[in-house]
Amino acid sequence: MNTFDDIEALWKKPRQLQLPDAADIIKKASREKNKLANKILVQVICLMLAIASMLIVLFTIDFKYATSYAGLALMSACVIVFSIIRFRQTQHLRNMDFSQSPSALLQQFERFYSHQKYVNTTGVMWYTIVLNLAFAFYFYETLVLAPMLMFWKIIFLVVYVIWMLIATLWLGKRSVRKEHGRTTAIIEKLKQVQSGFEL
Amino acid sequence: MKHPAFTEIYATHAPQVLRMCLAYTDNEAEAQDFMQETFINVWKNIDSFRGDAKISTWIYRIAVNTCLSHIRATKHKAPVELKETFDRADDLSTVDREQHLQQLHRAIQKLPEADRLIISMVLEEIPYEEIADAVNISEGNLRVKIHRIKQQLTKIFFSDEHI
Repeated sequence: MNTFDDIEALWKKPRQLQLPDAADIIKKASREKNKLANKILVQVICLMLAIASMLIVLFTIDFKYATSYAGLALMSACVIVFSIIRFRQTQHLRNMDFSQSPSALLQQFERFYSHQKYVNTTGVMWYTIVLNLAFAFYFYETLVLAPMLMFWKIIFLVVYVIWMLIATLWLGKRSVRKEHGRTTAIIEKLKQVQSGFEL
Repeated sequence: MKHPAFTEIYATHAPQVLRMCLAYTDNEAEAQDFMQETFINVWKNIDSFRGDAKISTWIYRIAVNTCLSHIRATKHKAPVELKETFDRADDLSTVDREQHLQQLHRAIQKLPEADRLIISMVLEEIPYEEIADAVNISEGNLRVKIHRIKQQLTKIFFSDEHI
């Protein structure tokens, strides 16, 4: 007779399973930790470079108008705030607690997704507005009042506008779609499995 | 202090976790990856383990969550075929046994994902209380589910006996 006992008996038979060495796991875990530390370091370096370049501009050019300083200050604020938010998101994802119950993990993913959505929609919208405002302030002295041909001024502005449109409407949206796709895929599946645990 | 404790935990629980992962995915390399990731999560969180639950329950929960987090919505597996005929487990040679184990893994793959995780823990003889805790459902609910999953798996596994 074929019963579940036969399946259990088959399962219990000794098997040849290859287990990786514990030291390999520790090495891999330490590598992962270092990878995160390096990522943070790269982010901090990029942030420092961005701030340093703004400081160089600030101290090497003798601006006559307060708008230029306001522009640079706003640009710095944008870079700093956005970098901090991004860094916290990475850390949050890394620190996802896998030792809690599956339903609690699902809730954690959902909280992360709602924060991710907020950052990628409202956050990015404000980032774009403030950054463009910062450039508008900055360009008043460096472009509008600058002693150069109107032709070059227009060319410069056209290139800037095209780049902003590409960055926000195409590149940005594509990356947001990808990010959201990954998170929603995990949430959907976790929900599906969660419902499977219920009767 | 972390390393010796981890090595001991790993030696005790890794074979069981690997078999659980093997029930979750029929790909041995993938199962090893899941198991490795489970223990990376164990290693990362071992200092925060406060002993509210048994360490085994805690590890199973990490294993369940690790397997679940690897699910990709776009991943569609090809339907599995059960080819071999099944004889009683007692009469099998090593090669036959391996083949039948693979066949059993494939039969488990036909179950819904939540059921796969539960039945792998049942087959590993993990107490119901710990399974219920790991998947966060009541023990009564779990018993009913296990009864149904056992019937379903038996049916799937033996229904292809004559193929």
